[in-house]
Amino acid sequence: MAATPRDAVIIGGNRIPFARAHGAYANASNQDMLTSALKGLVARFGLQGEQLGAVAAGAVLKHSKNFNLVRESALGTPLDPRTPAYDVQMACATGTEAIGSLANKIKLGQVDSAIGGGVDSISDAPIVVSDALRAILMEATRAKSTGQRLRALAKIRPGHLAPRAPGTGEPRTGLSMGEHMAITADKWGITRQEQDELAVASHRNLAAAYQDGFFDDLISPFNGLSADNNMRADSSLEKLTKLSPVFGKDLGANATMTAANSTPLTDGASAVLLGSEEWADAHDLPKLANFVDYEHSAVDFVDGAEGLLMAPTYAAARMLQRNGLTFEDFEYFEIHEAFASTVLAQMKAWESEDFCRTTLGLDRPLGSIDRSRLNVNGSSLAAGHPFAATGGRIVATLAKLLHGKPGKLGFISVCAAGGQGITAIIEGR
Amino acid sequence: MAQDTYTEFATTGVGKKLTKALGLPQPAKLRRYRPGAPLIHGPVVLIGSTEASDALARHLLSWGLDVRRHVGPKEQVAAVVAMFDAVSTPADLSETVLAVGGLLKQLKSCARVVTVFRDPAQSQLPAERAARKGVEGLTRSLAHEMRAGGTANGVMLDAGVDVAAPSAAGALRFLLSGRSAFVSGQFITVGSDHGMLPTDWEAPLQGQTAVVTGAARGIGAAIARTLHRDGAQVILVDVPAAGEQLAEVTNEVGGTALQLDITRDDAGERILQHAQQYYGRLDIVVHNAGITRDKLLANMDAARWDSVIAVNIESQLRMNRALLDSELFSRPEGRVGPRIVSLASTSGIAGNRGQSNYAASKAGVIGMVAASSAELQARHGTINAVAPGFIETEMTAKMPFATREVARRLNSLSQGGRPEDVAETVAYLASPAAAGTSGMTLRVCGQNLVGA
Amino acid sequence: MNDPIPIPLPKLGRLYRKAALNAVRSRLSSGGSLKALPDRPLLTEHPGITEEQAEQYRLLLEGEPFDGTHRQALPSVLLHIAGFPVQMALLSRSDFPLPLVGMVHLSNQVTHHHPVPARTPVQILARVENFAPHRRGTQVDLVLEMYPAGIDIQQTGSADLLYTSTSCYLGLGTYLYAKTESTSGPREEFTPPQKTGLWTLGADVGRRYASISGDFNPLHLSGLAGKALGQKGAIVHGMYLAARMLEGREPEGAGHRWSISFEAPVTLPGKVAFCAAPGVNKTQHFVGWNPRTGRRHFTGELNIP
Repeated sequence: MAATPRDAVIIGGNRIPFARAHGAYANASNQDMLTSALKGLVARFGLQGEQLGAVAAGAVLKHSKNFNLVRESALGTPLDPRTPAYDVQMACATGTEAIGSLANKIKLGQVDSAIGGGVDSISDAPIVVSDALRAILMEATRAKSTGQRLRALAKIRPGHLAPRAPGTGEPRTGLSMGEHMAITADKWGITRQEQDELAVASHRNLAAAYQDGFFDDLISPFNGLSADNNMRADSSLEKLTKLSPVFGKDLGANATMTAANSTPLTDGASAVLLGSEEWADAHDLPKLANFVDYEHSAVDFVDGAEGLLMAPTYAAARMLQRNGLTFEDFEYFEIHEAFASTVLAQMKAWESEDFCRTTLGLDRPLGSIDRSRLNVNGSSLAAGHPFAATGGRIVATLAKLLHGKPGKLGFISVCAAGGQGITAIIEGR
Repeated sequence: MAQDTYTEFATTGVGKKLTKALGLPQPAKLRRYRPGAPLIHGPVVLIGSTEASDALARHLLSWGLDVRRHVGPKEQVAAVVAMFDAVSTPADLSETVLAVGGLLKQLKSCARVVTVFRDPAQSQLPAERAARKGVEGLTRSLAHEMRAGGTANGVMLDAGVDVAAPSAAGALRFLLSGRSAFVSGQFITVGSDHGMLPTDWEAPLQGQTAVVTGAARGIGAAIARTLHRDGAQVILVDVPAAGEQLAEVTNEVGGTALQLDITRDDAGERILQHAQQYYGRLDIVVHNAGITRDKLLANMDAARWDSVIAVNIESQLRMNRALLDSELFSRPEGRVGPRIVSLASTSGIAGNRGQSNYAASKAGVIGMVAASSAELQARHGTINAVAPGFIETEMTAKMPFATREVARRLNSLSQGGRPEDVAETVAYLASPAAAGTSGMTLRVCGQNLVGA
Repeated sequence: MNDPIPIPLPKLGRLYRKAALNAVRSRLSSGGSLKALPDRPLLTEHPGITEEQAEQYRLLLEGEPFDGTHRQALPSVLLHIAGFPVQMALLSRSDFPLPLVGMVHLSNQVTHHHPVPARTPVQILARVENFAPHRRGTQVDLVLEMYPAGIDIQQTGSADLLYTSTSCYLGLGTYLYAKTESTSGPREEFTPPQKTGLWTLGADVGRRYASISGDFNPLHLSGLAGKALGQKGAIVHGMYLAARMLEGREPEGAGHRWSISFEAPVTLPGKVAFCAAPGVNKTQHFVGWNPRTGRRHFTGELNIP
């Protein structure tokens, strides 16, 4: 693998349980949730009063009043208030990007310690006024006299007052992410059966991990919730088969995506503690794994040239090539389950001779991924997916899985809105 | 926590007059320990001129106390230390007892009487044993007679232990101080000359690492705060579901949080691993975590019984085994080794209606502590239990008002204790100054009328 | 070309009032005979599309994520909007044989030769040509040409042409030629392709486009007016669909050609399923249809240089 000046060590993580939207966290703000996740992390690792190199996190759906969300959240924790903090935003890749870029800073010696993460709330999503009303209000603000102001405000019409909530639709296509994925799933011939199987596996794996106490030191409760409330330990193929498709309904019989094999809208927050080896040692902190490398990619999805959520296939190819690795070199795979079909389509693409040669420009397919190494402790279908918080969930989970397995590698793939993707490599220690 | 409005009222000027006129209990505002405050305000009278008393006097003087052999008839007295260490027959008690009695009317509020004597059980001479046993009886009775927040307790020395041994001094200081505000009618046994007195009495746990289970709230949180105040680095353990509060308390005391279900088979190992990783040492373990699942035995189901036994005692037995088998928790430093303090309950001593499961588990703790003591003492360590009486917690706040009001007043101090009172006793037993005290169960109950 | 008639930039409101009168008059006069066709183009000076108009257009098309405010060149449809009053003036001249009310937009073909930024004055030439029989009336091409301000268009001709569009309209129910029954073939079978987009059009899209374009044809403004004029409700402006189709796809340097043909009108509010498919030679093909019924609303094409 590419030699770097020094290792960026994943020390541990903390997240609050993920809650289905408009449920347990309906009255919690992004700042409340991120602060809680950070406080739990500080408590777990005894970071009270500690001045860290940086805290970087973000939210995909964010109030404009939260222009400094991460800094404000960090100030609400016992960390030294002189710890700098900033917001990062890359749709669903936000958390992974925050962590990856902090790892780079550590490798370069720019910082010795950092917290990366993310938060998102559907329940507390910003509702904004229409552009027309905003324009009128701005005009009124700029008005120099009362008369001008009144003339500006007189332009307000009842229709202007309808608030606008952000949607999950892609702005350029008007299609929801699910509709986009339905098209890709159809293109790759992903069956309903395999999607439902993946969903069941996700729930069962997550439930088993909870049962084992795997998350005892990865999650701290919030607002009375101590486990992800989307999780259905008793999920079964029989139950899932009964559901009707919700996306790609115009595909008729080929519509395969249901509410169960798609991720629900969720609220939650996560945080991951990173440090240099020296910093971790000086603070007597555990060293779970190294954050080795990461890669971004974006695809031209607007007119359907590539599937919206297929970008990670490209990032993976470049990242693996750069590091001289193949899928056989990995112990665990964490592929974010935006939809069951996302994971399956990505895997199918990596198996495809044609796609890997023609589209990714490789000499041979990347090959298949051993299902027994995939999302072994559950993923977003079961846990939920508060957009920016998913990266922190995945990185902390994988780092813990690889702890005690020095040199063993873990692979991360996260797709993101806007046709973007992010992949990463983690190495156990 | 439930507000004790009655005590608040009864300690005001009007309230005091009114409650006195009505013959109601007169709970005093207890003198509690505050860092920086004097150990005790006013003269400490030392009665009994044995050789040992001179040694003890030197300790008291070194603490900056106003130590007297005699006081004038009008002078107010803060504490009386009565030396009974040399009594060989009941008739020997008289002189010292009467001298103490003569001072009782001169006691200030929240005064202390401490009797010092040797363990009756270690004497096979009927007269000597009778005399020693007599000290117990008179001390307990005196505790009942103490007024205005005053307490009476005893320090009971083993045959081979010098009166000037560190732990004897440690016990005496604890009983004189505000740390023992809610301890009355009790005896602290000093079984060995292990232990050492701290260089800084305000940070007796400096440099030590402690684990507190059930630390997210109530008594556990108070213990974590007190150990931290006394200088220890604290690992706070609670079940994952209590993680949010656990993080709050942890961040308050600058410790590290360990979310862990202590009934897990590997709970002890996980604690050791955590301590090794973060602090490289483990000196003190406080088994505070406990649950209640009250039900009359006639209506008891397996789930209620088994869960209480599993959490309150089986987990402790398993964790202690792991701890004692480990290198980390075994090494003595100088004359002080590892210390375990376990939370028992007065229910475990006297029993309680509807608490057969809880009482069994807590009595079990008392038994476990006694039986484990030798193994701990062998490595200069200690294991003790603390049995709280009625403590004002979130749990007791849920009791029906009348029951709570009665429970509060049913002790010599006519009030409920606070979680901090339990925590102070835990911190004392965890301190190097108490290394000579092991295997005992110390009650923090204001001399509850229920039970022994 | 015949000498153009120079006119001041027409006021659309006045034209609409005139159109209402003409509607009455033409019904009285047009007995189905072809009168002399208007053969002189109109020429007007246009001060340029204002930045305010461009901004309103941007907001309407929700083009914020596409163009931002950095884009200098105006979108083709805004240039069409600049020329629209001149077209209207032409259509409402007394010598124009088809009544303005009842004109249906069939298709549009545009060559956008050069970029035109906001606040750039232009000369706009409008003429009509190619009257032809149609199954349901008479169709006619309205040609718009735009030139830079200040040049003599008779001298320079096409070298300076900034933009040219040919809008084909149908004068519904006005037969200038003998009725031909056989001109319509069997309706083409349409199988919707895989959609690449889904447009959600609010009830106010017609009114909002009208306020930007000045095209206050009541057909687009309210469901009642739409129904009165024989539709299922208010229908969206054809050029709005063209604008949506082109949004984010027009090159900054211009030089592109595009066309759109309208079929079933889009009733408001409504959804339009959309597919953009790549073709040969930098040509993209578009189609929009009703996602529920599968009826085609339009087909289009864009060729970029």
